Amino acid sequence: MATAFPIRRDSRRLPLVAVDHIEAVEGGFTGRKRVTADDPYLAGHFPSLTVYPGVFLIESLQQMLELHLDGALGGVELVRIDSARFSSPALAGDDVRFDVTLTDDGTHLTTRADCSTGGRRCARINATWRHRT
Amino acid sequence: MTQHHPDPGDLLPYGYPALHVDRIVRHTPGALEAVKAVTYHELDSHLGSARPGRFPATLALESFLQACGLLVLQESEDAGGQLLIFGSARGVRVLGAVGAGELLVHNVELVDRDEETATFTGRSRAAGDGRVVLEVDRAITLIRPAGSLDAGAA
Repeated sequence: MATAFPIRRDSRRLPLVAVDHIEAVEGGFTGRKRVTADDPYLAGHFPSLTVYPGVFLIESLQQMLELHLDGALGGVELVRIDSARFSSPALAGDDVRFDVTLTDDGTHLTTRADCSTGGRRCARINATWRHRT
Repeated sequence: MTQHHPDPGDLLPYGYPALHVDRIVRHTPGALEAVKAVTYHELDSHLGSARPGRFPATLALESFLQACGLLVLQESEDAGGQLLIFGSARGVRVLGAVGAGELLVHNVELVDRDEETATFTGRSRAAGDGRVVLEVDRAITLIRPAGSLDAGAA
């Protein structure tokens, strides 16, 4: 699968490119991911409808964090999902916006992410990560 | 005694490449063990060049959640009429990963259930050396009528 973003040669395997754009903001970053019906990975999720799985919102958050930190995909590992709540599904055609605050204690990175489509919150994810070694 | 269990593909609405449970191994009331075989055949459809290929943590969690769904559906009289949606989780710890050639084993337990939600706990490990790769304190799935996501019904 082609991607516009560089991928570290020693990267973990990625199920798909789950990010379209990121932008640094004070205290963190914002990101966007458009859900498309022709993404081959989503074809089998709900065969009658393109639903972006909740775990892929977590994958999107991870890839956005990687791009924010390194400018490339594949440099971060998930340590813990402290809490995640999915309040409405993201469907084909939806632009999912991520508003993320980031803290770094030198060992772990902590993200607090609000995900929304059309101004309506669809998920809130609090997670902890570390740099790949 | 060998138990016969339904095929995951007959209980869950997913198809390739989104179905991430290969077989139900054991089922007792409120508990289920299921396995997922990780292969390069599948991993090579993904991005990244790490060796050995490791199953992504997000997909390991998806596989775990599908095992939770199988537990509910196996214990339902109307499995075909129900749709399970990932609602929330807390205390999900990623302790490692399984690689190509390994079997990912999920042990899930039903903690609570009502008409609209089911709450699970459990862990996942590699079959060979038994190392734990994922622990989940709580995961909650929403139980909805089949078709409730169609035509903007959600």
